[in-house]
Amino acid sequence: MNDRVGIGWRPELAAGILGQLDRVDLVEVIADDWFDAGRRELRALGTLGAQVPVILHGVSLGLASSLPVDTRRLTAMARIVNAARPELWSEHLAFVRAGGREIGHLAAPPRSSATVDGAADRRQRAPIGKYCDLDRPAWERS
Amino acid sequence: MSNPLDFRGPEFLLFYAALGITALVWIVYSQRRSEQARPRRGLDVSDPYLIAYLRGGANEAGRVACVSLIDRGLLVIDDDTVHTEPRVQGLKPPIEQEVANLFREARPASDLFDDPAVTQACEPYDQELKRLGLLPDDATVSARRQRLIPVLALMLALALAKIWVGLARHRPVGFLILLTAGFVIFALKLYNPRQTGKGSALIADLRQLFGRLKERAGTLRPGSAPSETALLAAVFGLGALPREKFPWARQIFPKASRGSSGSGCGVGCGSGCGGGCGGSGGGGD
Repeated sequence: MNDRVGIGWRPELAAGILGQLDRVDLVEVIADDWFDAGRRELRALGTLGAQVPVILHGVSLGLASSLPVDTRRLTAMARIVNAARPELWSEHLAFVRAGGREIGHLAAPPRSSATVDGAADRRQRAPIGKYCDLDRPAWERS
Repeated sequence: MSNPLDFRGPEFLLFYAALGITALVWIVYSQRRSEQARPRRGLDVSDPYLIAYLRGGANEAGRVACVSLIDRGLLVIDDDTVHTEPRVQGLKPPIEQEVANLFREARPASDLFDDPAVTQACEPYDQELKRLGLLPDDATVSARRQRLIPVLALMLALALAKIWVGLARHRPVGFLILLTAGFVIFALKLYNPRQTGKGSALIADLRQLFGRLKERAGTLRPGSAPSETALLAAVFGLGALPREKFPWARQIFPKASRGSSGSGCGVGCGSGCGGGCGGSGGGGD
């Protein structure tokens, strides 16, 4: 696969991005920004996906957290995937919440077999489309 | 169930009006259903003139081209006329070159409306938008007619029958004739809109995607971001240009600058549109 050059979608930059699509190979859309989007907004996202290859990236599923993945977040992600029809969607293998608290950070999960088993289980519970790609474990980022 | 032709005058008028409104709603709804589809790749949304043409035809594309050329200093406003200074050549979009050619002599900006050369320069836009199903082609117009004709026939037949009954019973029929004429006029106006359902959906989507550009239109400075200015005018109309920064747009195109078309509400980015991979998860990319 050839390297491609993309840019993160920001509504403020819409004119700059959509006006230069010949120089943009793909656009990364933060899925979480669209969790509360209505039908019209999702249709607009579909139009964006029709103009340029879209990569959806999630940051809050918490696949390596200590809790099961929130069904509402998964449902929202499914709606967004169906609307945008991205080339793939990805999610951090990170620890983002525990005990009902959001830690507000993509933290490294404990390096244990329990984390691996839990993350694998959660990955199987997130079978939205065939695209899901897990981003680098958070501990590789530090 | 009683025969509608035996209804008293006011009752029949109410019945006819309700039936007519239902028929008009059906025409619009069935048309949108049949013409709407998921957007396809292929439309060059970076071309403001293509978008302007989709929204408002050759005159609108010409307006946007004129505004863009003035914004870039290629056209100059002098009182109520516009002219090129110096002579401008080699502009890439043909519509820009045609607009520049038109204003080699100082003349009112409105002279570009229905200018044959400008209309001709828009012909590729027309063909492209029809090919993509965003503007109605012959087949679409024919399908629209096929939906309209039975509705018109039914409503006219009903009105004529009641008029005949009314005249036979020496009743006044003037209001029914007016109502029928009103229905026919509305139906003829509604049945063949400029864009297809897909085209109007695309305009609405672009207004969503460019919503933040409209919100920050007040920060645009003339000449500083020509492509953003052109896209803003193309997607939302000249009314979206801030008056205090682009007073000349109102001066040369007073009607088009009067109001902004569409709501242009912000795109569904929730609250977390911050930089990087921030959203709701915090840290990151």
